[in-house]
This record gives sequence, C-alpha cells and structure tokens, in this order.
Amino acid sequence: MTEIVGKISDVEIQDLDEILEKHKEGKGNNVTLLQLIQNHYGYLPDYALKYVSSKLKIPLAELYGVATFYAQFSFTEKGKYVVTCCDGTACHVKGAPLLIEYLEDQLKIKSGETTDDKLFTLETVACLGCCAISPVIVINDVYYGNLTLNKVKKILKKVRKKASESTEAKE
Amino acid sequence: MSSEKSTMIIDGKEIEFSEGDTVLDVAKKAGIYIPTLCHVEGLTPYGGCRLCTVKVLGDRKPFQTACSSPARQGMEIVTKDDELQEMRRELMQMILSEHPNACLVCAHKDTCEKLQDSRDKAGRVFGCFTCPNKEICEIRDIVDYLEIEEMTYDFEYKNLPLERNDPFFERDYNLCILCGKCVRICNELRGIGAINFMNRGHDTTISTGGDLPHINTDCQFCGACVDICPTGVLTPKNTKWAIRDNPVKTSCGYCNIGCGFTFYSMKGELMETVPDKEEFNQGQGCVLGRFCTVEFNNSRDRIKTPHIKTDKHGLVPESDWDKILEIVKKELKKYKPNEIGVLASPDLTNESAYALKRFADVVLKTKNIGTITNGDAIPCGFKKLNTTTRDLGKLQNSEVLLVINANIQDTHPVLLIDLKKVKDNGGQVIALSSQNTDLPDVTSRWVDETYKLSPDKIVAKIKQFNNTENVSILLGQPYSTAIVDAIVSIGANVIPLRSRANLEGVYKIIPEPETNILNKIQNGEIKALYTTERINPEIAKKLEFLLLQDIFPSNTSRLADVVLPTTTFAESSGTLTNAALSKRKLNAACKAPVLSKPDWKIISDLSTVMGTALSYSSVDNIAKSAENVELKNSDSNENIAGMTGIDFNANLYTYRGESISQQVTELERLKIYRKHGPSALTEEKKEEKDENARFKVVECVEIVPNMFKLVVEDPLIAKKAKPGNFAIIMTTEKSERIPITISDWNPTENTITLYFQERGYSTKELSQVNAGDHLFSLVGPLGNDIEIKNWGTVLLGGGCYGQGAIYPVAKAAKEQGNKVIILLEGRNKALIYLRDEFEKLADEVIYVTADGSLGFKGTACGKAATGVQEVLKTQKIDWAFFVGCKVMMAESCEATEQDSIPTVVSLNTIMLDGTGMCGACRLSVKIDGKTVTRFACVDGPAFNGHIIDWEELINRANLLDLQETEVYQSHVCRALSKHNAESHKEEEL
Ligand code: SF4
Ligand code: SF4
Ligand code: SF4
Ligand code: FES
Ligand code: FES
Repeated sequence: MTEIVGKISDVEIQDLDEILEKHKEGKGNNVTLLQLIQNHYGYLPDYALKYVSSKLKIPLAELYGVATFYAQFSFTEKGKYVVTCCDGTACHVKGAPLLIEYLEDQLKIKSGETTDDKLFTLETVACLGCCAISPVIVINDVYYGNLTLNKVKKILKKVRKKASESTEAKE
Repeated sequence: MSSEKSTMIIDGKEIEFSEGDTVLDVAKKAGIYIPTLCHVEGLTPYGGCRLCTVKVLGDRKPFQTACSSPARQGMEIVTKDDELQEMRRELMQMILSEHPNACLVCAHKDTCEKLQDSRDKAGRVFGCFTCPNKEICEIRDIVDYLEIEEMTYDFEYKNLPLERNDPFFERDYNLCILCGKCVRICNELRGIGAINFMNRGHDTTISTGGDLPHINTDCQFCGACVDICPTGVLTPKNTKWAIRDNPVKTSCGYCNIGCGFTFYSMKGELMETVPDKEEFNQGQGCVLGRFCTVEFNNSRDRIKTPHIKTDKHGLVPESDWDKILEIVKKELKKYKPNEIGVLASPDLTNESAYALKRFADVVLKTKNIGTITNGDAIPCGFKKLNTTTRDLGKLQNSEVLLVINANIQDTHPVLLIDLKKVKDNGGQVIALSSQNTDLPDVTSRWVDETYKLSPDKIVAKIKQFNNTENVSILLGQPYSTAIVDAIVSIGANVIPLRSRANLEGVYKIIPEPETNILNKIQNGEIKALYTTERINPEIAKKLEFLLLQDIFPSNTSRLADVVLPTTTFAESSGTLTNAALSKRKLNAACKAPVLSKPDWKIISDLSTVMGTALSYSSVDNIAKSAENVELKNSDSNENIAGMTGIDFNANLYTYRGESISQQVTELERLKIYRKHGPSALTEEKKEEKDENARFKVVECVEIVPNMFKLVVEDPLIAKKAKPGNFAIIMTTEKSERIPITISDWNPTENTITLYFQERGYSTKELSQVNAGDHLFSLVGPLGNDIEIKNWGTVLLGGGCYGQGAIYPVAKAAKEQGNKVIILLEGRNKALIYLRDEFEKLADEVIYVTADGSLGFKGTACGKAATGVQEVLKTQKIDWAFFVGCKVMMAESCEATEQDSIPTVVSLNTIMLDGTGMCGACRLSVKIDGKTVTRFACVDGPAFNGHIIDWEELINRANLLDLQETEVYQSHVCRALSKHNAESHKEEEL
C-alpha cells in the first residue's frame, strides 16, 4: 500500500484530501464518495481508490464492489468528447451499425476506446430512449438525431474544430 | 424477561429455544436438517440463496428463510413437504445452471466414482469427478437431499480464466455459485475485506479490488474463504488433491495460540490440515497452520536417521539406536555433572520438557539446564503474568483492548479477528508502541488511537485504565517489569505474544533462559551439551561433545557429534501451553520417519542406558508422574529493569529453529513480497534462454477447458510421424515424461501438433509453457504405426484428449477411401473440439454429450457406448478405433464386440515414461485363451480392444493416484534446484 500511495504526487494527495474533506458529512456513503472522485478526474483512477481506501480504512475491494455495480462509474480515462452511439433495436434497424463503423474508422479507435490524444471516447449503448429520432448519437450530453452518414461527418468536423479552437485559446 | 423457556413446533415436534435463536438454530439443535447454501454460522444471516425456506403455518407470509427468521413462541413450521421441495429444487436448478452439473444428476454417478481414476487432477473442473472439492461438496449433499435427477436449465460455462498465480490457493470462478460466503467471512469475520462482489446482474463475480492478484491486496492467506466455499472454486494449491482420510483432532504448534485443527493423513503421510470448527478458534487459523504444515512436515530435508561423527568420514548415518545411545552414554560419562549442559527447545511438548528436566536432575545431576528463549521477554515478570487473568475468549468483549508493542498481523494474525470483534462489540482498540514502527494497514483499520510513547509513559497510560471494567492486553515485545506491574495492578486480562508455540509451557518447567549455559560454554566450564534445538554454531564449536536432537539439518547439526532425529508437532502427542495458559492437546496425526522418536522417548531410552531409568511409557504416564514430583528450581530473577524482548521480525515463523519459509517456498514468496513489494518477485523469474535450444514451442493454447493444443518445432518428427505414433515430452529437466499422441504433422513447416489434457502435475506444468519457450526434450515418433487399409466404413470415436488423437487416423482412413464416421463425446458441448476439422474431413460426425447439450445424450460415463450403439443401429461398420479414458474405451469395445467388429484402441493414456522401463503401462491381454502381459509403450500403444483385461486396467490406475497427490504436496520443493542436488543430504548432513 505504501508503495502505491508513494507514487501519487503531492498535488494529487492534496486534491484527494480535499475530496475527502468534502465527503466528511456523507461518511459511510461510498457512492457519493466515488461520485466526487469521478467528477474530479472524469473517471476513477486506481491510485485514487487505493489512496482513499487506505485513508478511510475501507477495504479496496469494497470500493471496487460499489464502483463496478453502478454503470455510471468508469475506470478508464475518458476523452474530452464522449461519443455515445445508440445501437438499440430502433437505431440498429435504421443503420446505427454503419454509423458506428464510420466513427470507428474516422476516430481510428474501437468502441469503448479513447483516442491517443484523449479527445474522443467512443461508446455504444443499447437504446437511449429516443427511438423517435433514431438513429441517435450523443456527444457530451448533446443529442443528435435522424442521422445520416453525411450528418455525422459534419458533426464530427464541427466538434474537431471546436476542440482545436479551445486548445489554441488556451495557448 | 420470564425465565420460562420458549417453545416452538418444528415438523410436529415441540422444541425449546432460547432468546435470539433463529429457526435454523432451533432446527439444528433438534437434529432437523434444513438445506442451506449461503448461511455461515456466527455471521449475520444473509438470506441470499433461499434454499432454507420453510413454511410458517398460520402466518400471512408462510414462506420464510429459516436462517434469518427469529424463532417465536408458539411458532409452528414445516421444513419439508412436496411444495417446499419443489420450490427448493427450482432454486437449486437455477443456481446450478451456472455450475457444471452433468455429474450431479448422472444416473451412473455411483459406478462412475468407483471406476474412474480416482481423480483427474485437471486445472479446470468440468464435473464432479474432476473436482478437488468432491468429497466435501455441499452442493452434492443438497442435490441428494432434494432428489434432483434432471436439470431443466441449460448449463452455461462461463469460461473465466483460472487464477493460479497466487501463493497457497487457486481460484476457478467458473464453479462459483455466488453464495457470498467467502466475501462475508473475509469481511465480516476476518475483517480483511480482500474480496467482494464485483459488477452486477449476469456479470457478477467475486474478485479483489481492481482484479489484482491476492498477493497485491490485503489478503492474509488465512484460508477462511477456502474452507467456507461450498464448491470447488477456492482450493489449496498443494493439498487440493489430498484425500481427507483418518481425521485426527489436534492443535497447531506454530505459535502460542495453538488453534484447534483436524489433521488428515493417508498411509501415515500428512495430507491436509484444517482449522477445527468445534474448538475455541471456531474453524479459523492462519496461513502457517492452514497452508504450511503439510509441506513443512513432509519435507524431504527432514533428518530421518540418527547420525554419529566418525574420525574418517565425519557424520555418518547409523540406524542402530542401541549402539548410538551406548556411544552417547560413554561420551557423557566422561564429564562431571557441572561440565554438562542441557537445553530445552521452546517447541518441546510439556511432557518432553518435563522428561528433559528430570533427565538433567536425576540422570545427569546437572544444574545446567535452560530453555532456549532467543531473547524472548518471557523471564520478565513470568510469575506475575502467570497469576493474572489469561483468557483468549474474553478479548472480544473488552471495553478497551490495549495492543502493546505488538504487530499481530505479522506474528499472530489470527488475533486480528478479535480486534475486529472488539470494535463490533462497541469497544475501543488502542495501540501503544515504544518503537518507531507503524502498524500495518489492515491492523490500523481496527485501531482507534495509536500512541508512540516512552516506556514510562506506556506504564502511565496503562494505569489510566484502572477503573475501566474490561481491559484486555495483547502484550507484544519488548516490555519491562514496570509494564507487567502496571498490567497486574489494573487487573487486566493479558495475552502475552511469545516467539514460540510452547515457550510458556517449557519455561514453566525450566524457568531459566539459555544465557548462562551459553556463557559457560564460551568460557569452557561446560564441555558437553545435550540440546533439543540448534544453537549458534560459533558457540557449538567450543564444545567437546555436542548431542543434538532436531528435525532439520543445519550448520549446527553438521558440527554435532551425535544427531538424533525427532518428531514434529504433527507427529507427536502431548500438550502445549498457549498464551491463555490452557493446555492445548497434540495428538499424533501421521507417521514420523521410521527411525525418529519423540523427544520424551529418546530421553527415557537414554536414561535407561545411562543406568537411571526414568521408564516413561507414554505421554500420559509422564503427565501423571509430573503431578507427584515437585521440580527443583532455583528462583530466577524476574525483575528486569529495562525493556526486554525478542525482535519478532528477525525471528518470524520458526519451528524448532528451522525457518518455516525455508521449507515452504510460497511462504518465502509472501515474505519477500510483503517486505520488498512486487518488484522483488518479478526479477526472480527471469531465466536465461539458450539461443540454440531445440523444440521451440510455436503455440500452446487452451482450446476447450483443460484441453491444450501444443505446436512444437521438430523437423525430424514432422517428417517421420505416422498415425498411431506418440511422442514423449519433458517440459523441464526435472519434469516427468509425458507421452502424447501426435495428432498432426507438417513436414514443410517442420511442426507437429499435439493435444493434451491437463490432468495432473506434469501436464499442468506443460500447459504453462508459452510460445517461444523451449521444451527440455521431445522424443518421437514412438510406438507402432496403425496400419490403415480400405475397410469400407470405419467408426472412429474420441473422448476428451482422444478427440485429437483420432484425427491422424481419420485423415489416413479417408485417404484410403473409407467412409469415415466420427464419434466425439464429452460431458458438455463446450468440451468438444476440432469440430470444424472433423466436419470437413469426415462423412458423418456424431456427437454425444452427457447433458445432451450437443447431439445424443448419454449418461456421463456410458455416453460413448450410447453413441456407438446409435451408430450400429443404422450402419454396418467394418473397423472401429477408440481413444479416450479407460472407461470410455472399455464400454465402446464392449459395444462393438457384440457385432464382432474389429476394434483397435490406443492406450497411451496409461503410460508413465514410455520406454517399457517403469512398468506403469503394463496390461493383460488374452491371446489364444492365455493371459499374457504387454506394455502399452513398446507393444502398443494400439491394441485389439477385445482382448484387453479392462477391469484390471481400470483398477490399477487408482494406485497411481496417491503418488500423484504426493507430488502436488512437494512440488514446490522439486522445482527448486537446491532440493534436487541434495537428495544425498543425509550423508553430508
Ligand atoms: S485468505 Fe483470508 S484474507 Fe485472503 S481472501 Fe480468503 S478470507 Fe480473505
Ligand atoms: S467463491 Fe465459493 S464461497 Fe465465494 S461466492 Fe463463489 S461459491 Fe460462494
Ligand atoms: S494462529 Fe498460531 S496456532 Fe493458529 S494456525 Fe496460526 S500459527 Fe497455528
Ligand atoms: S441459507 Fe438461508 S437463505 Fe441461504
Ligand atoms: S457419472 Fe459423473 S462422470 Fe460418470
């Protein structure tokens, strides 16, 4: 354990301690704790779980048990844009597989993976509950419906442009 | 509350119960069986499996789970009726839809178990008969109770990877029924929480956080989960195949808790050690007692014969005890009493220690006798601590539990349970330390406050609890007289942690540490020493005569003039005094090496030779005489000013001076890991690879559970192989030889393909080779070719590994223009392989599975026969060939014999070394009415199936099982080169 904790930078320890501080009132509720961590990192880093496990004296397996139970938690770092493609029945018959194939091709990743530049994560899910506008994809909470390959092409272009603008702005 | 007992009615019987009992408790006490699967005695009721559902008459909700329903006055329940049984059956069938179940409902279950090789030691379990848990399986009991005869749900094999890289135990979660017992015992009872449920719904599994190997987690390898698992998921690595025979209730002799255990043996050899549920430790133990005893006890390194030093050859073995004792007598008589010293091992039984003390007093008449303490703090305040409360059972109810200079997680891990219980019961755990070390993570989880204090402050802190009702103390080391006084003054319950199992008992009989004697040896006053444990060799060199009684060779034994082999705690009877001063009983559970003797016996025999016979006839006899004889002891000074004590870390895990991890490699692995982290272990593994090595492995993959496809480069065999040939493989230079049929060969790529089944130690080893590795040796093609002609229609049947073995014959038969019918059999469709290849090649492929998941359904054992009969019904067969397990071949031959179809079988499954030397593959065949002996490896492996004496063949195989089981126990030793080189160690000693 010491070995693992030893690998975390001081900054991160500070961050995690802050999270634990925030969590103080909700003590005993592992779900809210995990949510706080996920909100901070965008996913649940292994080292963070180990750190809080040893800090709060909660067995690591218990935290993982909770984290794997809820679909909302993720263990891999996600890209800036999470592209969720629906492959539910309605979308499927309306050509979702084609869209997914296209996206995989364009982003050069498989569904469930994240691009090397950490810009995109591609996910497929079963039915997003808006079959009326199928086929559907969601990019960071924005829904795009009645899609065609052409539309997807345009959306991707737009998102890419936005992404590069924001990185430029930073620099 | 009224003092009147409450009663309830179970199955028409009126039964008394006490407050707090559950319905299940009451039924149990009354001897009424209710099936349970997820219930663990002593843990919070879980109510997960619902198998214990009973009917509560007159209740609005009549169906309630017995394990979680509290008994109520006047309650009336029914535990078994048609409706309940039907419900339970349904539940059980659902549970079993994810657990290999063909064997459970097989109509031939009983015969199968008698006939089959007692157990295939497969890696993956695909049915009861290959399951290491078979004899203690709760599922089997329940299926019997519920009289389930058929499965309504299809079985789905999860095909999860086996987890076998951790020390001490392996995991095959394909058998998991998710009862959660392991999770609950690890979390709720042991307080470790190394494992938990992961994921949800259909994907639920048991795992560690982040799926790490256990060694990377908090797991203490206590084995609680292994022993509570109702199925074969969790199994001890070295003893999983051990047969649990001859149970003997005894105690563990590694630490001064002395947990109650049941030891099992077979033919006198220790097989398995399991914590006893009925003892104070309630079925709990620690890694040492549970997983290290067998390997340590059965180690090949043990001193097995007495040795004497000769002028010419140094130490030589001598089997004549009389002669040896005469020599010892002659030597000892040379010295005056005060020139002789005697040392008692802290691992002696009380009886042996008493005998030794009497020997010194009466026979040698020397005052120079001491107990080897290695600096343990035991002399400090010994008597005072003997008069205080010492009660392990009281620990858990402490209001305050003080842990003083104790790292119990490393030294007495089983006490962690009490730490947790104190917390559960609302008490406080306070750690006091005069050292600058931190407690390990898991321990600190249960500690409320930690203080690093000077010795004086520790005394003050203890005294603060003067008015607290229930104070218990785990007294580690070092400590001082002042600390003891403080403990005594507040009347606390104290458990002193000693470095050795019976230090407390031996020191009571011989209350003198070894220091004086060692000093006297150094300054030449003592010239001869009789010691029951090794001492520092530098000091030993000063002696003129050294008599050593020990169990393992050491640098000291190499200097000794006489070495006498004695017994371990598993081989001895007697008592040990534990931390609570209760006498823990030892009962010899296995045979000691033939020429060894228990300590007390050696002492008694020697006394007779020396002319002052102590004449002890048994341990009980010594205990009796001890009651009447007052031992003379000078009062030793027990007031020690400063802090004193042993460095536990440096003396961790020793028995009779031998480090346990020296003998138990997995323990060493764990120790290194805990100390230096994961990186320390990976380096160890790097082996140099010889560039020019031959027999390169191209591929080694598990194609179906337990069945491996191995492709190896070997130009020679690839060119010369013929159908029916086999090759012999040795994975490493120390491996056994494995004969395997050559299934395919490719002369252009210079490769051969073999299919083998993991069914024992050697094949397990082979299954772990990777592409790019080199086998140590590969010899072939061996065996007589099978001549393939154009017969017309041929039937080729393969079971298990035989599916691959019939492939070359099928190919050749097809080339000759035969109509080829292939019969593939397996317990479940997941076990059938080479399907595509056969479908392409053959005219017809017929499948038979035990559970009907593919093709015909045949009873698990008789499935081959079922298939053959089906074929014979519709086809005229001109020639038949079978490869599979012995039972499969025997039955298939019987079926073809009725129609007088020429039938050939390939017998290489029974070969051991494949050269006709070992005789393991001997079989009897009838030729012209006469029985003659043949050897599968040289005369076969193909034989006319109708002339073989199958019964003899099947029965003989069972004999080999014991040997194989033994190999498992000692396999770690064998893998170590040092052990290999030292088979002559006895002579060198
Ligand atoms: S061996 Fe003990 S600590 Fe490890 S998982 Fe099993 S119960 Fe938990
Ligand atoms: S591993 Fe054993 S004890 Fe644990 S849930 Fe599975 S079947 Fe039950
Ligand atoms: S705690 Fe002590 S007595 Fe119990 S099993 Fe472990 S070493 Fe043996
Ligand atoms: S034993 Fe009662 S529900 Fe499982
Ligand atoms: S009856 Fe179970 S395998 Fe034969």
